[in-house]
Order: sequence, then structure tokens, then C-alpha cells
Amino acid sequence: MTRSLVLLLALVAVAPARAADPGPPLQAILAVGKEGAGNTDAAAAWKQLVATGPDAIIPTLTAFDTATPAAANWLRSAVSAVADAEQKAKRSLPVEALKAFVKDTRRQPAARRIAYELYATAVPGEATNLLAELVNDPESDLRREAIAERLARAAKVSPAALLAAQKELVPFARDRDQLEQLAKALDTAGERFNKTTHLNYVTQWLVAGPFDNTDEAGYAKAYPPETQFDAKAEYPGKLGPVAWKAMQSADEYGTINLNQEIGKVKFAVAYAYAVVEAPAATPVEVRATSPNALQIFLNGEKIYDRNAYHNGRAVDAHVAKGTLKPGRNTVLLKVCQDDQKQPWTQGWEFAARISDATGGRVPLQQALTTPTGEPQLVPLGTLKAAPAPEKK
Amino acid sequence: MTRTFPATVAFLAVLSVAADWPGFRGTGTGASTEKNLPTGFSETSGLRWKATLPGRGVSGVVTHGSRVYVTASSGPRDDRLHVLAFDAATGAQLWHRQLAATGSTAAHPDTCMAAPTPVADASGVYALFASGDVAAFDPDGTLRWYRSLVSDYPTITNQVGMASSPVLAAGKLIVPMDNYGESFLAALDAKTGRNLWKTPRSKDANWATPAVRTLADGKNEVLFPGRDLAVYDADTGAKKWAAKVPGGIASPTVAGDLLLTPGGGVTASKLEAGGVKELWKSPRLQTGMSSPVVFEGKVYGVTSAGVLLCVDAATGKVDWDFRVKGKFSASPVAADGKLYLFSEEGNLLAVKLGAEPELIAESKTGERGQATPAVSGGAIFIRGDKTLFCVGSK
Repeated sequence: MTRSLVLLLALVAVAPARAADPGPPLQAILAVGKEGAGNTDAAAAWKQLVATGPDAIIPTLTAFDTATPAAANWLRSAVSAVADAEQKAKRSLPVEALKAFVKDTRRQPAARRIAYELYATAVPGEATNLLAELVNDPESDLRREAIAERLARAAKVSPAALLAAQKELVPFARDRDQLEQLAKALDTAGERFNKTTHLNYVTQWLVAGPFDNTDEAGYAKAYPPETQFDAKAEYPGKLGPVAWKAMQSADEYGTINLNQEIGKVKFAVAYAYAVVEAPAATPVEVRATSPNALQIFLNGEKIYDRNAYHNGRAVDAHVAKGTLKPGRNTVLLKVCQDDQKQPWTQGWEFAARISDATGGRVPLQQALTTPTGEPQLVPLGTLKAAPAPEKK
Repeated sequence: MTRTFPATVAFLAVLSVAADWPGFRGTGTGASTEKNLPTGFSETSGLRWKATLPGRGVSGVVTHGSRVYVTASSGPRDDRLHVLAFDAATGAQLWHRQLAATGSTAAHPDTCMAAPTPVADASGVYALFASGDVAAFDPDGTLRWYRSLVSDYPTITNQVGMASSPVLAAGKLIVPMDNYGESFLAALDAKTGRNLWKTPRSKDANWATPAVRTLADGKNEVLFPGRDLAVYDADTGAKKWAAKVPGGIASPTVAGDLLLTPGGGVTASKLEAGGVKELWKSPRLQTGMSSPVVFEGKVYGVTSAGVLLCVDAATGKVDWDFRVKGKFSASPVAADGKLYLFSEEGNLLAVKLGAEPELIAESKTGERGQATPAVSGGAIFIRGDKTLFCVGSK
């Protein structure tokens, strides 16, 4: 090997690493597929990307726009590796570019959150000021922390300032614990806040069931309510004829307990049907809370299915995306129960709300259609009235 | 020479050179051959170092060579996942990599996404999270591969939270994924993360960690309890045999041909070709969430309420019981003539073993503790909700 070739190889090995174009490695990472397909190429690309240094951060965060959840974790760990190395080397991160990225709500929320954390590491004071502006941010943790920051600032001023902040900020809250904290504070101050309306729960349903789900086979079987809705129909059910029955939730989080409404039946399927009126074409998320296997249909089209039982009652565990058309829209839930015996497997229930992509309120009404009566339009979140107290 | 003898010899040989604590309960037994270990620490002495963690974890600390690896999870939705490496001698944080949970993070409040204990070898660390995310990093923090198991198998679900830890077997990462949805035991290629085999399992929650056993012919088999104790060929994933053995939340212990299975007490069995022969049952060895440890001819277990029991490994006869203070979900570990217990109240207890047990130290971390301690390099590693502690001389 000649001396000049040795020198050239040494230069190639040292010099260009930090100036490399992150584009090709990003493509390799974005191409990872199911069951580890593409992992070998992605691993090589990950090394290249990290070797690029801070110049790779913004392109890598931007690549979240088209990344699958798996690819996003390759990207996320690459950004954390670059940031780790820069921090250890006591080099500064591209703070202005990070700040601009945080403010660019066209970018993926998860990537903006990472950008915020890097920004906060570099310039904590400025980051807190930026955070305080983000009370209506699409990214749930930024929104949550922004609300908390604004409340903390108000609390330092005066009780009146805190109450004013609570009233101002509660419409932006989405997380149940934060919302309950705010609603409780407002309630104490005599300012009632309606969580059910705020969260847009569908509270009025027509429910039909039980249909058979022996050996969980009913999950895949399209019973008549799935193919054509007829409010006056009677269907052969698991325990006898089944008809639609109107139900209105009295729970502030919109829960319909099928064990109570239909009966404690195992290996069973229930359908829940509601009509929602939209003022215009509206992209929405149907967010359901249920421990059961679940399918969601919007205007007859299946937009969600999860054939898994007893995964807890995490709020909004099931999120289905769809678009409401102007006027009348139908929402159908298929809620399946299995035959497990353990105490924690007995729940057969659901709640569903319709929100924007941040979990926020969309102005909708719903119609209660009964087999005998005309539809009546009410705002989403209207709860069953509490029974009048008995006269003594 | 009988068939069982080489397996026993192989097991002892592994122990005699193992200063690392590479996985859940070390090599899966909870015992170590380390000597001259510390007994505890105070506010002013006995801590080699401590390091702040970015989140909580019920996963144990693992070590390989000079590296100490820990996982953690954080965030209001517990969806931030962390893998960290520290220098065993100094406690310097060598790297910190972050991932996001791609599966459900719903779990019982006593657990979290950093529940499975990672496993390490010379190639680095393999971290599985309860959300079904699994990643392999080399010792310097380079991502070797990553899998989102919930993206691949979307019905994976366990509302209590998954906690079974992965184990390594001859170049394969054995991933236990018993749950209420698509339930399976899989071997991933340790180099690439691709599936080598994936064997269906019954749809049940399971929090036990499989045990790997090396046979006389050098082949490995994987013992995994559930409805039955099932034994799989580690090369192919084929089920070799199954036996009706009581099971529970805790994990089995394999020491040579001795199999200890917790569940309604502890059952000791002799592993034979194609099955097990029950040796004894000890209903008093109620270990709850912790797993039993076998050490120098004795079996030790601690109840969740703090009753420590010593049972003769050959006969099942109870030698003694001993009351210790605290609630216990972490498994006890044995080394250097002592048993170390880490209570949920965050206290490290050292009990001197012998005919008459003696509590020789009780050290307070001041943090909630659920992770099994690690023994490596002359130190005891414990992790609380916020801090990693290295107990040992500087």
C-alpha cells in the first residue's frame, strides 16, 4: 500500500463522519418491517446516523413524520445517542433549530417532545417559558406540563389568580387525573365543570345482546346488527330473541355496564349503536374504554378491531380514526366477552367518546333513536338525569 | 457416569467462574460464588457509589464485565423506556438510551413497564419491556437491533403488566410472551432480532421467567411454567415434554437436575429424560412473588410478609424459620454464607446462614424497592424507584 493511499484512508476514516448526509441512513431505518425485517441494514444506518453528530438531530426528528412505531424507536434511540455524546463532550446542541422544531406543530408530536427535552437540557429557563405557551399543544405530555406550569405560576401570585388560571386552563386539559384535579378545584370554588360534555362522551346508546361468542368465535361472525341496522328488528340471540334497548349512561365517563344492562353472560357479544350529528365533515377519533375485545364501525365501515380480552380499563385504550360526514353518522360498537373465571375478567362494559386528534372536544350532537320514538338531538355528554328524590 | 452427573458438573462449573450477574436472579438461581461481600451500608460508609435513575423499575440490575445495566420507565403514561449502562467501579453513567412504549402501558400500580430484568453478555445488553418492546445494545450503547412485538403481534395484552424476563441460550434471546392475546415463547437471533422460532402458548397471564438447562450433549432446553411445566428444545422451539407441576407468579429454579417450582409452597422435582420425578413438597415455603434460591444444599424462600424459611434441598425438611421485618416481592439472593433480602420498604437485609440464622445488617435506602439485588465484583447492587446503589468498599 502506498503512503498516499494510507493517508487518504486515514482522512476518510476521520474527516467526513460528522458531515455525512443523514438521508440514506434514515431511509434504511424507515424501511424496517415486521418481525425484524431490515434490522441488519437499520443497525448499520443507525451507526452512520449517530456518527453524523448534531447535524443528524433535526433530520432524524423530521423522519418521525413517516416512521412506523418500530422505526420511530430506532430514530429516538439515535437522537438520544447523539445527545448523550454531545453532552459528554460538553458541546452545545442546535438550540434555535430545536426551538423552531418544537414550535412547528406540523411535525410529529413525539418528535417535538424529544426536541423540547433536548432544548430544555440546553437552556432550561428559556424552555420553561416556551412550555408555558403550549397549553393547547397536540403532544399530550407537553400540554399536561404546560398546564401544570401555568397553574404553578398562578399559584405563586394569589388564590384569585390560581382560580382564574384553573378556569382558563381546564378546557385544555385531557388527562383524567389533571382534569379531575382542576374540576375538583373549580367545584370547591362553586364553578361547576362538566367533564362528560368536555370529553364528548356518547352517553345514549341502543344496545342489543347477548349474541353467541362461544370459543370466542362470535368476534369474527357478523351478526345482523353489523350488516343492517333496524331499530325494530328482533334477532335470534344466545339466550333467546334479542331486540334493541335504549340505554343512557349515568356515569360521568359514559360507561355502560353490560353485565347490569344485559346480564352477566359469558361467551357473549353485544352491539351498541348511536347516531351522531356533525355540522360539517370532521376528522375525528372514536376513543373507547373497555376491557373487552372490541370492534368499532363508523357509518358501516369497520375502523377498529382488537381481539384481546381483559387488558384493563385504561382510558381511551382503543382509538379509531375516521371522518364524520355532515349530518347523520352512525357509530356501532361490538363488545365481546369471553369465558374466563378470574375476578378481574368479569368486566363487560364500554364507554366511547368522539374527539379531535388531541382528545379534545368536537361540537357534536347525538340522537337517541328508540324503536318507538322520534330522534331527539342532545349535545354529546348528556347524562341520564338523576332520579328525583322521593317525596316524604 | 449417569446422565444427570454431567449436567450437575456443568452447572457447578458455570457458578465457579461467574462473577457476572447477567440476568434475572443472576444465572437464574439467585446464588453466587462471590466471596468477601459487604453486609450493608450506612449514610456515611459502605456505599461504593450511587446514581440517579430516570424512572422506576421492578427489573433487576444486571452486570457483565465492567458494565452495570439497568432499565427504567417514566412519564405520566409510563411510556418512556430507558436503558442505561454504568461503570461498575465508579458508577459513572456510560450511556443512556431512550425508547417509547409501542404497546399498552396499562398495568397494576405495583409494577411498571420496566418489569422484566434485562440480560447481558459480552455482546451487550438485551432489554425487554412490559410493553413488548425489546432492544439490543452493545456495551457502548450502539443499538444492534430493536423489535416492537406489539407491532408484529397486535393482540399482546396483559392488564396486570408483563414481567417475565428474557434469557439467553447459545446465541438466541428467548422471549417469554405469555399473555391474554397472542401468546408465545420465541427465540430471537441475538445478532439481528429476527425470529428463529416462535412457539404458541396458551392465552394466560404469566410472570415467571423461563430457565435454560444445558444437557450432557451440549444442547439447551428451555423450561417454562404455565398451565403445565413445558420443556422446549432451545434450537427449534419444539415442545419436548410437559409435566403437571404447580405454578404461580414466581419463577422456577433449576440447579443441575433439581427443579424447584413455586406455587402453593415449593415443589422439588428431579429432572429426568422426558419428565420429572417429585422429590418433596414444602407447603410452608410460600414465596409469593419472590422465587426460591438453592444454596449449599439448602433451599431458602421468603414469604411476602417476611417469614424466611430454610429447607433441606435433599429432603424438604424444614431446618428453621426466621422472621424478618418488611414486605417482600424481590427474590432473595445467596452468596458468601449470607442471604440478602431487599424489602419493599427499601431495606437491604443481610442474614448470616447456618444452623442458627442471624440478621447481621439492615441498611435503609429510603426508597421503595421491588427489584432483586445483584451480586457481582465484590458488591451488592440494589435499585430503588429513583436510585441505583452499589454496596461495597471503594
